[in-house]
Amino acid sequence: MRRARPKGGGAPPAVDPHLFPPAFLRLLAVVPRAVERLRASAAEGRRATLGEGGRFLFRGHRPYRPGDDLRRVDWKVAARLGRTLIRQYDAERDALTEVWLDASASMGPLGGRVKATRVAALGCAIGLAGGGRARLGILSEGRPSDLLDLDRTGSLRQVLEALTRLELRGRADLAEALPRLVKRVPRGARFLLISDLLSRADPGCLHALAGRGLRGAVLHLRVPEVTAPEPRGSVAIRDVETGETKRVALDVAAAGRIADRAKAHADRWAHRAAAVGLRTLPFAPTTPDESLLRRLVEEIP
Amino acid sequence: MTFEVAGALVGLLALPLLVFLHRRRRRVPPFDVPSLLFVADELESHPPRRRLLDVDLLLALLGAAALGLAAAGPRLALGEGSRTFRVVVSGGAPAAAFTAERGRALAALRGAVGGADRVEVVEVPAREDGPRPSSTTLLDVALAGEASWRGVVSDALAPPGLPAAVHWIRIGRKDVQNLGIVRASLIRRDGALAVFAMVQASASGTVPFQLVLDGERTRRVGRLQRVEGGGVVTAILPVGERWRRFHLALAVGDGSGEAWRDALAADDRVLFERRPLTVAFAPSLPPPYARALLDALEAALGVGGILVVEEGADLEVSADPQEAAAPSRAGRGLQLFPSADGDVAFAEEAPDVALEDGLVADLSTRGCDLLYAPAALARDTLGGATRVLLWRRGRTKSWPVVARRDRRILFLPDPLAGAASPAETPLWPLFVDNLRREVAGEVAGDEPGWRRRGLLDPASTDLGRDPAEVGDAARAVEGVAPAEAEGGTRLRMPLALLGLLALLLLWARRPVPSTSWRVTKAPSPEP
Repeated sequence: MRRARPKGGGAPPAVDPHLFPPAFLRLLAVVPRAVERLRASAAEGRRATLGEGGRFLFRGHRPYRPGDDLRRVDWKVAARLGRTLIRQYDAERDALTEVWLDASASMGPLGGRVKATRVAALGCAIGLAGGGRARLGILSEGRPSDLLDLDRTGSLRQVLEALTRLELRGRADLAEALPRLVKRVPRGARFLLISDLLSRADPGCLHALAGRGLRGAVLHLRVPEVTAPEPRGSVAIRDVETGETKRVALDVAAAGRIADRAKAHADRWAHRAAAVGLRTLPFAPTTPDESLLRRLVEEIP
Repeated sequence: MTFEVAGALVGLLALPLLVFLHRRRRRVPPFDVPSLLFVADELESHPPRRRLLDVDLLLALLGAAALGLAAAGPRLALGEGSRTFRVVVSGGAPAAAFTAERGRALAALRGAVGGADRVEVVEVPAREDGPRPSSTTLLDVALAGEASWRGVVSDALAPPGLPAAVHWIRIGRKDVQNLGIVRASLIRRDGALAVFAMVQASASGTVPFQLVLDGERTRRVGRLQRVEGGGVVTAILPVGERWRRFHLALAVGDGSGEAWRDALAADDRVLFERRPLTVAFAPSLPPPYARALLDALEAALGVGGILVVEEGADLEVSADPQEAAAPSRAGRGLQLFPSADGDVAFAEEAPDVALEDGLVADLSTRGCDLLYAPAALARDTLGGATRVLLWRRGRTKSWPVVARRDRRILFLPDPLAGAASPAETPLWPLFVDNLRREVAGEVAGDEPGWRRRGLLDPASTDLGRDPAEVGDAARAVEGVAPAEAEGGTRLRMPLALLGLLALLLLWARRPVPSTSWRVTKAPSPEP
């Protein structure tokens, strides 16, 4: 895991510029507008079927915040009261997005940490867009741990700082962590699980999330060097979680077998995730951030 | 092969360390991957075989080994070298009695050594009618220079305390016979002039002889005498008052015609002549210096033994620096170097070094002030054919005292300068006496004005007849260890260049691409 270090020594930066470069920060800043635009362009009926209860219901006003869609400004109220207010609907007000990040050591190598933390940041930003709330937590050693509770867009910096400080180590132990996590996640919340799912745990542990009306996705980190390695002869490889070292003859046939096992493993988890109402969204360390944002907004209810 | 700095070979111990570090550096560490989940079922494989030909390692080892050897300064000896057998041969009058024996000894030496070896014969000269060189001189010459074997060929007995590095090869004949005059001087007996003589026999049995005085027009033969082998006999013969020159000679035999072979003729005749030493002083010589020389000569020869002349002298004395390099017109030239106030060089007190030369016998500069005029130390004076016989060896400079140049003798310090000038110490009088002896010969007794020449020492008359075995020259050179070739081929520079070339090639080689766990094309993670 790479830690951000300031040039010339001294205290490390609060936000690692390697994890969150300026280009990503600019992307993060436009997330609320992007979310509003994408949601507004979607058919209301289609949107209504995705949410609990089926339809948007007007629930009141709230003060205008920079970035809010101007079409939602209640101009009548503004003319009468002299204040700029936004019409608020059930789908937005008090919506909670649970972003849980697998903090095991396997998430770190080969660019996994960079992409996973950005996905977590994007998930939090999407959850905060439009007045929602978000919670960021980690799964480590079989226990879920809260990092942050967020209620406004301005708190995204805290997310970045928390993800910068995060150390990926040990194992996630999903079989123990997920049942414990269920008790923390409120019913009907948007649920995002970011993990590489490199666990011998039975994917059936996802069933702990069933029946709670959760909507969201399993964001599956797939490192190509693990799931589809290239043939390169005899190589020695070491598991960063267990420290186990093994030398394998990585020929064409072996590479094919490894890829098949990885696909079968991913399919089992995706099947179990779908059974509890969660989509599976695979991504790689090389997946562009813009593509991730689009898919998160469009495909995750 | 030999090494100039063998200790530098310790650096070669770093070669195994180089191999270890190279292999450690080339070792590919295991790749860190998120999980072995999907390879757990794959069989364990064997590590790839190590490259048999690791060019980088070979170049690094070659460079380090070559530079390490170069630092040790190796020399490649081309087989056995030639040995040098240094043989010192004694000169002097007695050597004439053993010419054949000396030749056989040298031939035996040459025959005993190998073809590649070299026999270096050094003859220590002495006057043909003079005594042998001293054993000290012979040993000094034998021990000088580089040699695998050193020896002295002499008819004299080996001196006590002979160094183990020197072999004394004594030549001679047990049947050699010699009769010689060992003492001869003029005396006054009852107011009349006479010559006293002592004859020594180195022979077996009794040897009859007669002493003969050969005057200018007179010949006087002494009575027949006999001397036992190994013994001495004395005799006194009257000398004519008006004689100015005569020989004292030996006639061996009793006149019966019996042949008796005398091995050495040089000790059979002594010359006496009454002639004062003539001295000429050049106009350039200041009077005090002339006086100092005359005083010293008169002390040895008496007032009547010196005659100052204008030209044609036995000894010409000059103070002109220009004449120091010129050949002497007289029998001998003496060059002095008077100094002027304020322009002198002062020699610090230091040990003396003297060559074997009668002119500097018994001379010492201890306690004597040596002040030099600039001309005395000039290159024109000391260069060329000038041979310094006595000098004071200082810490940073040598101060010459007595030198020869052809027939000219140079006394380089000012004899009258200094708080303890040479003239006020034994240095000057002894030097003048040595000079007098060389120019005029020995004093022939108490009679002033008489000189004597041709008298050898008793040791010269006593040729090799003692019971000591004559050395076997061939056996003396047995067992000399073979020597390595001198010099040999130096390999330092070629090895250093080879090492640098190897390191340069290593630097110029392309780096071996490292194996990385990367995929060149990221597959799409879309389900």
